[in-house]
Amino acid sequence: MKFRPSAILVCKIAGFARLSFVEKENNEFKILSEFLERFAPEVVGHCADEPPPEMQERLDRFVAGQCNEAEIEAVCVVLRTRPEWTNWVSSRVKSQRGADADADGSR
Amino acid sequence: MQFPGDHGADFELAQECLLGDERAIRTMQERCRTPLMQFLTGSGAGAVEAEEITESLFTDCTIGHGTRTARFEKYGGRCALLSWMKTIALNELISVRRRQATHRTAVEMAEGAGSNPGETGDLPFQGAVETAVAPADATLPVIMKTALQKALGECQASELVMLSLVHLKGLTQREVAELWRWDEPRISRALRRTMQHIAERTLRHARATDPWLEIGWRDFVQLCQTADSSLFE
Repeated sequence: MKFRPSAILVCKIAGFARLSFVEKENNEFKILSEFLERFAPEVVGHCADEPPPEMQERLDRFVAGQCNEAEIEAVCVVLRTRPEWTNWVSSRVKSQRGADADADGSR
Repeated sequence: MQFPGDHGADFELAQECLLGDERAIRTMQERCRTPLMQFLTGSGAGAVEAEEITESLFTDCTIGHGTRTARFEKYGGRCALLSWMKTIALNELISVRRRQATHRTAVEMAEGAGSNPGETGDLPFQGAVETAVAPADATLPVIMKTALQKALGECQASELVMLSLVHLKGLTQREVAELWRWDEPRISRALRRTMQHIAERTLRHARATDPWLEIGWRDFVQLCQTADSSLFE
């Protein structure tokens, strides 16, 4: 499938614009979070506990994309009170990146 | 000495001002006077008020007062000097407004008790003046923190977790889309909508504390970046 050069150029410009908007949002939320960390020392974080087994099961379903809307909200309510478990979720997702890349490479 | 974000020159300038270098002090004032005054008037200060706060800030930054050291001694070059000074200036504007509100309330109470506040002598009541209008005696970071926490408290848990996964934990929008079983554009719209709500609600809560405070979201974020507890000691 061939694209006209002007169409390709428009897509590239839109891509750059979108990227800079995402970067701006990224920066803003990070700035707000760091500000709260500096000025809300009364928020005591739990040490880097792993979620208990029954919670890991729920989080694994969430990571696998197997939760419906209500289940997602319930999981997020827990993650909001235990933000350190968000690290656990993101680690699980990131560990799949290597597996996905290998699977793509072997096709 | 390493300075994040290339603020080494600002740090050097502040240090030279502290040493009493008149050329450096003049440079600092010329560079910062107009932006500071524009920032203050944009935040609700009158022109004269903005000028007074700015000139007073210049003095406080370079000369100590009583037990308080010159403010520039607390500037570590972690952010732009102008941004740092804007934070202090806005906090001073808030303090000025509170003192005015306290005085107005005291005058109203005295007049209500049949006294003429213009006369010399004691007011006809004892004890501390209760301020009916002025907000709690909070510094700027406390106002900002409270407003932001309230705004975040009004978000749904899923909205905050989504923001956190993408903007703090480094997941891609595609990966988050798979968790939610949405497509990527929907994730993007949700993230943008949540940030917009946070901005609107935060500013609304800040204004509820200080109704005259006219601050835009961009300024608020910049203040979050530069605000440091040592600024207000």
